[in-house]
Amino acid sequence: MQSKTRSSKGLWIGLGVVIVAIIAVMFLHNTGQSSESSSKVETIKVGSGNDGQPFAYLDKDGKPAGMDIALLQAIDKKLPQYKFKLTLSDFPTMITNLKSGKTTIAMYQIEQNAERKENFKFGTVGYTVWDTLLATKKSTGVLDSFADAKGKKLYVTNSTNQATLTDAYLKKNANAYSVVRGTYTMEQVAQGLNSEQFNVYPAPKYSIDLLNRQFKTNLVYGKSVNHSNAYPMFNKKADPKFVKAVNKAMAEMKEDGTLKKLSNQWLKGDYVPKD
Amino acid sequence: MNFDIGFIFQVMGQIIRYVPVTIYMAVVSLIIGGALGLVVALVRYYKIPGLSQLLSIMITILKGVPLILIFLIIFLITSQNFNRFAKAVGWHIRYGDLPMSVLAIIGLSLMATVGLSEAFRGAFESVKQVQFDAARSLGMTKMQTIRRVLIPQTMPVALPMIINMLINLIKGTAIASLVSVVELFSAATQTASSNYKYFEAYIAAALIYWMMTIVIERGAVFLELRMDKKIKRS
Repeated sequence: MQSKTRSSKGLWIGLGVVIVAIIAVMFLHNTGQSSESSSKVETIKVGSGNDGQPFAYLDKDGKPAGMDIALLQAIDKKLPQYKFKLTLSDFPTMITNLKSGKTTIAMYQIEQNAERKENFKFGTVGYTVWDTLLATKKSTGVLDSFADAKGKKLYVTNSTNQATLTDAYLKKNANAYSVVRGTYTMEQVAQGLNSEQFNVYPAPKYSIDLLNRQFKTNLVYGKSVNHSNAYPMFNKKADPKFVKAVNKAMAEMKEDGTLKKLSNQWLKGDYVPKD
Repeated sequence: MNFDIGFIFQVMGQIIRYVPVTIYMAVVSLIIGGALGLVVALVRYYKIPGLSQLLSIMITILKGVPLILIFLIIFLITSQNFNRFAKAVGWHIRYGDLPMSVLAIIGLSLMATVGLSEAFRGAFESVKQVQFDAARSLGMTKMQTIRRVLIPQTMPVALPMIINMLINLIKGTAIASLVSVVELFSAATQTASSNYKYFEAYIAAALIYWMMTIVIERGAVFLELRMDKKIKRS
């Protein structure tokens, strides 16, 4: 009897600790502010990734590197009135930081959609093409649409736009295809295609080129199933002056070929959007 | 930050259907790991020459390898060799036909084997020498001693560690998406992929994991009380 009372007391204490922890975390998120210096140069906290080679990662010396990092550094150079301070993390943490105001801008190959626009502001200049293509082995055939993938097995990485697109089609066309979901590395994707675990890989051209180049997968693809680009993403309360300055700097860099140069350097090809 | 409490409940409603697959992987791994762990512990307890040293080295190696790495190694080995192996033995099954939860169960079972073998080994030490002497005086064989004396007295001691392992296995399933198994955590992450409400999705997943843990702990307390009563009666 006594042990029963003690254990139910423990349960209530545990419940109390969890509730307090959740409230504390929520409070900390709500109080997150981007630091601003009192001088004319304003410090802007910038979010990006630390595990997504070649977009944003830590090199062998532990230094930030990648396409998105280089682009942020180039923007910082063009805007003397601002000083960027990098905060690198995994993707979900980067998003949470941006949402809470701990960072003001994030760049990590982020695509736009209506739901995301409700919570964030987006830049106007896209810097990487993310049109989704359906990559297959030659023996599977070239696919131009999700309808062409009928009866096939697709692999999608969790939390990507490709997963959302694949699910959206499946919602309207139940049993159109089966889906393997995971958080595979590129090597696993190559292995999955070689071992016939799945035979269709919805991905942007950059990823398909990388698989073909690095793992000799000889993948083919048809027309894109959607059009999308990567954009800088801002906290909803970001200063419109800052957003405008970033847009202007990026438009200039697109014009003078800096974006193309960075794309060639980090992605081994020109993946800068034409629109 | 706009904190969407409604979305937490929405996510909970969506991911609750992945509770069975999470429990299935954890429980099957516990059973396999428990059986193998018991064998490993017995071999090491009775110091069977050669085998005892070999298993000791294997356990030490496995202890030092992170679960995430075990999952990746299992995936790469099986994906590269399964089709060739299946063809050689005349099976008509391809790698793509395999339920990927099997790979997760292999990885989790290895983790359970390592943990439980040590738990059993520690519990064996709690059985007093006089018990073995009594068994010998009654003419029991080694197998009878294990079955009727050692294991029955070991289980109540090892039970909290077994329950702890079950909870660890449930939490371990959260990385099963590495081998393309959709479980609670990856399903929660997926729900946030289009609107980026990761924080709310994580809280939803945490609440479900927490509820599962409470149920298991309550069950464990009940089981311990029953075992205590049984021991007192005997």
